[in-house]
Amino acid sequence: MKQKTIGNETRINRWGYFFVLPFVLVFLLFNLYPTFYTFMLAFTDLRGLRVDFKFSGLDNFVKLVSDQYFWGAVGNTFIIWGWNFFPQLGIALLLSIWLSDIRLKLKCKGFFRAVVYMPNLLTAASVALLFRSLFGYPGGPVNQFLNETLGIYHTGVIDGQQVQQAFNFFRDVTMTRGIVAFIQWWMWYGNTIIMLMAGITSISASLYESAVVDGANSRQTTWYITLPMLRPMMLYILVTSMIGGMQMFDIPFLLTDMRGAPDFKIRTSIVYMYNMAFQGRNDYAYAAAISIGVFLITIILSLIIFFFLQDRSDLKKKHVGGTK
Amino acid sequence: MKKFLIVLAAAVVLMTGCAKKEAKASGTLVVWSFTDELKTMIDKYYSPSHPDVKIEYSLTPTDQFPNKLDPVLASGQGAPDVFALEAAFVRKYIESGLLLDITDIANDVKAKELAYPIEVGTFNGKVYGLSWQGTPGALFYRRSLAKKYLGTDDPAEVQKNFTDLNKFLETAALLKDKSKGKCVVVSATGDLFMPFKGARKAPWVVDGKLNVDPAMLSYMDICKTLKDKGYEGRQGQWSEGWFAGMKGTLKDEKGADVEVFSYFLPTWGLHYVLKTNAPDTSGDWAMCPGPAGYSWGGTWVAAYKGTKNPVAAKDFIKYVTTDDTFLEAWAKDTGDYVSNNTVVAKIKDTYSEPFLGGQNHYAAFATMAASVNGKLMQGSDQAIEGLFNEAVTAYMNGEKTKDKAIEDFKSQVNAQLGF
Repeated sequence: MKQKTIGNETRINRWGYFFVLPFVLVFLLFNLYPTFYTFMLAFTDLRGLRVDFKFSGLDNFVKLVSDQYFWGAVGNTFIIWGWNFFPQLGIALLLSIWLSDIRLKLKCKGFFRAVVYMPNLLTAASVALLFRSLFGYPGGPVNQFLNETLGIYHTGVIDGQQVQQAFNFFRDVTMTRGIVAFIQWWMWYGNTIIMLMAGITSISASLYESAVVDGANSRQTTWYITLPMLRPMMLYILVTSMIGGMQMFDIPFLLTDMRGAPDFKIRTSIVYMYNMAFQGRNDYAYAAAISIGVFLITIILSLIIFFFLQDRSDLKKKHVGGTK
Repeated sequence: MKKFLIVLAAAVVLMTGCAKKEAKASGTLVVWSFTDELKTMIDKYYSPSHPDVKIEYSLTPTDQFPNKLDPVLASGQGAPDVFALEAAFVRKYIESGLLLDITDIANDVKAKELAYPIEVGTFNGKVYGLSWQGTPGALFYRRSLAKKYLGTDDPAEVQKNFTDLNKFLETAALLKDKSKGKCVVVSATGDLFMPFKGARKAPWVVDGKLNVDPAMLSYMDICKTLKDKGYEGRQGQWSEGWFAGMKGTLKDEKGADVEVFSYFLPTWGLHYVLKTNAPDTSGDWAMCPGPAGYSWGGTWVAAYKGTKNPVAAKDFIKYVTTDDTFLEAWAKDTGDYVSNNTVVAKIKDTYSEPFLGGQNHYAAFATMAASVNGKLMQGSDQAIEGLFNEAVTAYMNGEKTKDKAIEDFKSQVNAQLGF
């Protein structure tokens, strides 16, 4: 077919380029160019209200590697992401297995799926502000509920005397990180469920049928068929969630003082990057170096995850074949 | 010879007259603002009196304004000729070297203008921005509470209880005692930040190094004392509870009433914060200077260095920020405290504010405005104060010792700002 180049066929092929042209142009202009520009900025000294800059070699990266606050921010990001990811995967797994189980005969599946996915449709900024006022001190709804309805108080000291006070949630590191992790979990578990359900429905029904014929119960089919077959999907979710988690910004940024209070313990790497670029002396060059640092960390971790979690049965077979 | 001289004089007069005519503002000005006040000034006053100048106006919300202005000023492409700058970020631009030098206008009007807005607009001896307003701050207190606990609601008498820091703490203790713990002097410790900031002797950055002024250290101490002794309402500024305190409806966790004695607010705070949020308490308020003179907020007007129409730009700035006739009309329209002392002197005795029980706020602000120091403001203030606030809160809540909090603050400032 290919050797016969009829005029008609080449013309059709050329139209294809025209169809992808808008995307390619937008991509080059708004995606590829800024990416390269950021890479370039990281090697300059661009700072403040200027457009001219000098190349300063690896200066920004030398500073980055020894910047305790950068590593602190990376640590914060991981803690919050971890607290959100593992419960998210667990609960999403459970719900997706229930929602897709044929034998349970659940009614209104579509309704449940919509409800579970709903939080993901909200703007992160408004969710952050909502939780900010929910957990407000001293008169937020959560405190009102704890104090007035349940009669639970924080014991404070005023003038040497113990007094019952409301909880100042956003001055407690564990609590504040927990709230951020909870919001992330709540907003994203619906998305994970959709992914897992797609994975489950793509498992061939004949596997389940033959297992049932062999007398397997639903615990066994879940354990020996669903979970192993979901492995690639879970790997995909882990990697995408980690990439998203490393870029966590709006919730920790807006929840407290835009600088990661209390004690900069919810300052994620991207919040730190924003602080550098737009809230201080407009240190664009160092902010670019931070983005590249985050980018490198993400790549390295993704590679490690792939290396450890990929299905290695194929590799093993090859290896066994070699020794023979 | 005499005749010749007269002719010569006439010629000179004629020529300078012509020259002046040539320098008259005309053409187009692109004006950017974050406040619609400037739009009103243009539509109602500037354009009718300057038909030769065509204004192209555009409004951007405050939080996005610097992000919109930064790139065009840096590159010079698509930059506006004249723009408004808010107190929070005005110094960043004044110090940038990108603004039009307007020292000549400032020198023309210096004699009749309030000193501190010009000081804020000055960098390395040159003036780059001017303001039409002064925003001195005061201590607003509830008359009924003052009568009940201090025995008087007369501003001069009440001021005697707030002359300095020690007196302030004594009064705070007195209010708590006499009210049996019901009355707090302020609802939020953050209320005291602006007066303490105004009481500094030196700015945050001196010779490229971070300088923690003694006033800032005593701010940390007083926050801690107020909290530990229960003299404050434990609210956050601008929070629901903070506004409830103004209305007199604040309650604590147990449902007991909390009376808030006072709020530290500037000129605009009276009109846009107190009046709008606590209309029911109208007449029960009064104002006195409090422990330190300070200013809070305000809008400056500046021009871009590379403007194609510097004559019109300067003329515009001079008109909206200093013109006698315009500012008098503006003050009468809006109640704004203007930066032109001639106008202030002319109108200040005509005011009587019903919200303050008939007190003349304009005259009171006039005395407070004179004590403001405009040399303390710097471009890096906002960033430094954001970090300082975390240190104060950590110390106040007993999370860190004072030394540790200050040490962490210095290290954060060094990492983020390089001081």
